[in-house]
Amino acid sequence: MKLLKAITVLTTAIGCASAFIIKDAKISFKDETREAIELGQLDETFMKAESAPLLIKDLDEVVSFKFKLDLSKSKSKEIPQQLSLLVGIADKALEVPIVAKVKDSSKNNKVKLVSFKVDLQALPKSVLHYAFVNDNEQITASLIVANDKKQLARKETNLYFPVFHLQFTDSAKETIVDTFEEPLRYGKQVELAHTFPNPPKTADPTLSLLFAGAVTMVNMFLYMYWINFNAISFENFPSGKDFIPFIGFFGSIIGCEIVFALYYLGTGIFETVNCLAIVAPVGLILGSKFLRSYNQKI
Amino acid sequence: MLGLRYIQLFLVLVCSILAAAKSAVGSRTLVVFDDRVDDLSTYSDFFNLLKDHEFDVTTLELSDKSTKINLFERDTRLYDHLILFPVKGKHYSKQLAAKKLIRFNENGGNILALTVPQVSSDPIHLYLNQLGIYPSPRTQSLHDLFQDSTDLLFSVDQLENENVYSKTNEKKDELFNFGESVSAALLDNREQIVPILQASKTSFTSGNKSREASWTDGSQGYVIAGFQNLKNTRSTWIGSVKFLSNNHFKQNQDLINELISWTLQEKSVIKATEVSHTHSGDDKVSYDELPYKVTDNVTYTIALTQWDGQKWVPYVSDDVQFELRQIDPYYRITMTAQGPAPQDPASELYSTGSFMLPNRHGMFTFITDYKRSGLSYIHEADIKAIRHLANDEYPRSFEIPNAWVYLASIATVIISFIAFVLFFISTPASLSEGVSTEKKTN
Repeated sequence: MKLLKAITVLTTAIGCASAFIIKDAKISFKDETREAIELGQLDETFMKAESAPLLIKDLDEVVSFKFKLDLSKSKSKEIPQQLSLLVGIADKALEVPIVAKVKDSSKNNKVKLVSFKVDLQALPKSVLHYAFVNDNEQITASLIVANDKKQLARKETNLYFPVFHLQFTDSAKETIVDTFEEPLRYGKQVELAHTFPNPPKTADPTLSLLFAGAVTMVNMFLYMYWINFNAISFENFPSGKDFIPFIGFFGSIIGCEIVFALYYLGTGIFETVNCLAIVAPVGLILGSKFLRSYNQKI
Repeated sequence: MLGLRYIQLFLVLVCSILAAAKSAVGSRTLVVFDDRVDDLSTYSDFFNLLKDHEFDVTTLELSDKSTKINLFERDTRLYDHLILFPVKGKHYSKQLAAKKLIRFNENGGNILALTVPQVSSDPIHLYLNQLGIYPSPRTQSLHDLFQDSTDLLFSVDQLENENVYSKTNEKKDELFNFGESVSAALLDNREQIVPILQASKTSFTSGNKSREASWTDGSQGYVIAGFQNLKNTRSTWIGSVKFLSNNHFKQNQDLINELISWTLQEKSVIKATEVSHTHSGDDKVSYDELPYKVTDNVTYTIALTQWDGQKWVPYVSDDVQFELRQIDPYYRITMTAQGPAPQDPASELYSTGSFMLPNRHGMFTFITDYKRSGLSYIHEADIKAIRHLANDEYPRSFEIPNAWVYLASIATVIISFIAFVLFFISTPASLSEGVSTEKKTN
């Protein structure tokens, strides 16, 4: 694989040569305590881009990239038509061009002093956002030096290659406020489902049944108590002419209780009132008649 | 050899089918051009393609100042589509002002606009700016110094929208020729914009003045962009007129064909044919029969169909979503395709399945808002009231275990009261007198 790469590079070098010679390339930082990085001579085969990214500790950082552009061997001695540094997230086609500052060299007018300043604060929020959120997304700076075909000799080629990558350190990411919001785009959205409130907590049915049984048992004990102490006797059970009013009186009491129970179980209020209108007068008339005549026996 | 013949026959058949595609909205097409800018005869292949697509083409030459452009007669639109070649002059600006173009587009007319860097077609630029497409100003043209050819070539990889141009493996090596003079545009961040063909990374725009800042750099720029408004009317801008010329037609035919199909609504046109929601269950009781109340189970269905250039066919996708909204969505459910709709087999039926209405009453919207870049939009909304529970629809106390103790107490009190009345009446008063109450004397 390495041999193949070497052959390719060699063949390219023999076949065509770059119209531009980039010498004394250097990357420096705003932080003067940080040592500048000397890159030397650059061409398409420059492999520094594959090496470790430059770590950025602060958004205030300004990365300067300077080099000498030697035009002595190129057909055109003018500043190249296209001389820019594309900075951004290359995979997302999210790049901004940075225009070069060009000065003539004091020693040789065929050599131009080119400098780019990558002010990280001035980069679009989107570029910074993707560099923050994903460690795999690095900010790439690619150099373009190109001239029109008419200004190139027959075997001369233009230059376009990545020069360096920038990556924010974890401590920098913690201090930087990311205010970027993804633009709205049509597409499938996250599914949503309504969250219903939890049903109210209820007692365990077994426990409820146990207590209901206890209540019933207490009543059973009451009846047993009455029976045990001879408090109950049917000797005085109404008979003869008192029997019919008694049945009416007692039946109306049971009827009233049934109407009440039915109302509780879901019968409408109007139906309940109708039923009571029948049962209650019967109970009242027959009850008063029965109790008046039976008063002495009770 | 015989196999090759069959392939040729098949290709001819496919081409004839493609060529016979029809717009879903109409065929009346007006082409506006200016003889001073370009000779229309150099675009004969393009016009033949329009005829193959069965468009009823009317051409209007604007170099003559007496020519008038009427897009409307009273309030009735006279054309379904408008193709604007680069035209210059004040006469044109008056006749086809940006406002007129916007009105035409808002009333359902599709527009295919071409610009070139040499001609300042102000109305087209103003119209495109309203859409959020900002073509490079006059004199600024696109360059790519890394291309060997003097003509600018763009590859299939630079195409961005599958609904406009579907990239198949057979097409992956295709290159499109835009000629020497190409405009590039910056695009706004709107959802309605359909980016179609992106400029290359090494490209840039530059003008005659050397110090002039470039309008676009690298992949910021686009050479073809579309726009679809909320009424599903489409506009497409192409940054080169030579792209359509006979010289490059053969090379660009595929893309031209797809662009015409998309812009003039022969493809990527979908619509809803049936929308319904009912109570869940086999009976499918509708809202009108039994209005919804909170926590009812309901099912929502929608049928979608797509225009294939000839007829409506089922539209099949896995991203059709339903929303139940009351200001904010309570549910967003991706519906599942159920096969052809029973009422209309040319439509695909989508269903949410059964879901429970929220425990909140009020006015709710049952909505399918299906918007995808390059596809016509579907917005089907139905507002319905969801009532709260009536007082007899809450759970009864005997369904709640806590109440069983109280119910048992009530029942025993009732029974005890009845028993007490019976015992009180039937037990003689003298019974208690029979009990010895004598005092012990010993």
